[in-house]
Amino acid sequence: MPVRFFTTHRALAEEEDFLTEALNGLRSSPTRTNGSLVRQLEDEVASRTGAAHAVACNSGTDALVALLLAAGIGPGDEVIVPVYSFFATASCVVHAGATPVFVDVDPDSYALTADSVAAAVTERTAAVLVVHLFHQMADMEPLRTLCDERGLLLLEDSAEAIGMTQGGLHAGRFGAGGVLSFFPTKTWGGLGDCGVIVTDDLGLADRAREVVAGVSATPWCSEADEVQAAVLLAKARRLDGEIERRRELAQRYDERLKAVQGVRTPRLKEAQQPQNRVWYVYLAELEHRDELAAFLAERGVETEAYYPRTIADQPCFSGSGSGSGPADRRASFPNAEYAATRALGLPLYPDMTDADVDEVCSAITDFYSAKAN
Amino acid sequence: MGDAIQGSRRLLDVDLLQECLKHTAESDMYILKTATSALEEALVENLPGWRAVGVSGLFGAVLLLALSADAADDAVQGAHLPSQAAAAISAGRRSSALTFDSGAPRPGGRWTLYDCARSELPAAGSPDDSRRHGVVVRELSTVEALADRPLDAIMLDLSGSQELPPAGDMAVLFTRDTALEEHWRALRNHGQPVGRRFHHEYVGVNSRVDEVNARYLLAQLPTAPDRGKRLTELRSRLTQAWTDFGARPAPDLHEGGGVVLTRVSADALAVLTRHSIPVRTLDHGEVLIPVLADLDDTEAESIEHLAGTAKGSGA
Repeated sequence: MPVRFFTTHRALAEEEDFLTEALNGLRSSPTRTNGSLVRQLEDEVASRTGAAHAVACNSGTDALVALLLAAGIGPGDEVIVPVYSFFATASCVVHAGATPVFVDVDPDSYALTADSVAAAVTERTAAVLVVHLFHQMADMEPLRTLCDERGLLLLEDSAEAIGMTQGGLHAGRFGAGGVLSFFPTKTWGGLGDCGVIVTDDLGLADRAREVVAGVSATPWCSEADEVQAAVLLAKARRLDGEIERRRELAQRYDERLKAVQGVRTPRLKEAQQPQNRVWYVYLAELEHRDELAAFLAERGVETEAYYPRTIADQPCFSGSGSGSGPADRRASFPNAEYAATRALGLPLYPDMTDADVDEVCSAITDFYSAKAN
Repeated sequence: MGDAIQGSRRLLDVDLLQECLKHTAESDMYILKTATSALEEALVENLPGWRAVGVSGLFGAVLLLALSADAADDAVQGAHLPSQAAAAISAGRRSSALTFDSGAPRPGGRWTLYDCARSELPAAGSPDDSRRHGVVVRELSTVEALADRPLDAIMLDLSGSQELPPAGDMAVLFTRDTALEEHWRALRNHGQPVGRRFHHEYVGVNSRVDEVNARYLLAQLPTAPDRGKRLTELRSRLTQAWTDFGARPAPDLHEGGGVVLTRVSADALAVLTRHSIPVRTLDHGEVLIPVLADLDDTEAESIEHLAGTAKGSGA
């Protein structure tokens, strides 16, 4: 039985009436971007996260660039970023004109820690961009304390973190601002690209709106499409239930995989403040990862290696060309490099059935049984 | 009557859009997949030698061009460009992407950019001055009309198109240079060469095409020539009717084309605004009467008759 890595058929089918009504509002409007549906989406995001302001963009990547520009990051600045993340975590810094400084991640949460960040701070450090990956947040209180003490901006790439909280505060709200992504496979995903900046700082929100509208001295034009806003508003209606379903599926994976030799199931790291986790990706660390992925593909199970190489190891940052690279590009990142060779995202989305999870786990068990023999 | 010709007449086909959403969800293909490729191929069907690269908007198109150029502040220049294009030039200068070098090929070069409605374009056969030349247009018919010019890039800003209006923001880069095409395809998708996921050869951006938009445009594409013909006919009629006011057709303007009145008095302007015609004031005091493809004959006649009223008002 094939198991897709991601599908979203059912969600849209079940919200068809709502979607039709939302789209009907476009029949008499010439507005294709940044209109009333986008405003409603911003309100929905603000309501869900508790943020005072939400500014929609055409993608999560654009939201990151716009956040940095609105926060005043620019040439001469260094921004500390985790070396294990999606590429946009670093490219946004580059497009702001600043330099990304890569730092290793915690081996359990895959996030920055205050200790690792502290060791990388220089007099040029202007900001720390924390990323919350897969199913849990970075431990934010020590990071916030560090940034306060050193006078650094704390920013969050909370692209995967809708619904995640720590000490009652939603991801993206611990520092100057954060970003959510609505890439289709995200916990709250559209049918195309879309993203949003969240902040409690009115000045930052205003500057971000100017940046994405192209009327700032540091423009990065990026308006969200009305149609994606309509899809996201439709899917918001079922988001809480879908988050719960993801939790059930992750628990089922845990139960079926925890005893399998060769599999290390996700480790939940305690933070200083109580936290609410959301399972965006079920990421296991697996021996013979690439061989297993090929085996699963033959069995019709789709997987995704998150991330097969660290950002510092990407050709543009590690290449032999004549350009200058990040300040610490020759540094080693043992935790990130370990994860890059072992981590594999297994299918996890609300349309999945329990039987789908069992199918995936059965295939994984078969693989390691064959290896043991 | 104003409602008849204002932007709302460039209506979204919501039923078609819903079909596109449904097919996108059912296909599990959301961004830069088969519909995008099919659209890119269809757009160059009548443009031998040209290739099309879809991007998320005009800002993205010009930014890709800037990130493929030489690393110099004056590598991309242009005057009288739409604000999004000017913003992209500024963003490209600020980005330090070009300082991160994998050693992979980069096209380089220096660019001069034009807006087709506001600049003198390089003529066919004009001598090469060593710079690359790119032009911003809004209509596919304009791309076809300029295809024999010595241009290295044509940037089709569909957000302003009346022939081929998209469901969201979108633009298309046209070029005959395969190296540029390949480079732009990588840059628009975070610097990943096509087919090499999580392999970032360049510090690219996210300027990708949503499959929903691509499907919507693909469905609209066969009727674009008819909309183009209708627009030409309407502009011709209104140009004739308003000839005493120095009317000339302006098919490809930022925020939509129409008929430009080069000599318009305050009285004539008052007639137009009194009848809720959503005119726009352009440079040098010229005034644009927007002309949209779905304007019907009765509505067009009404605007023609207003010319008489304007003349009678002492204009």
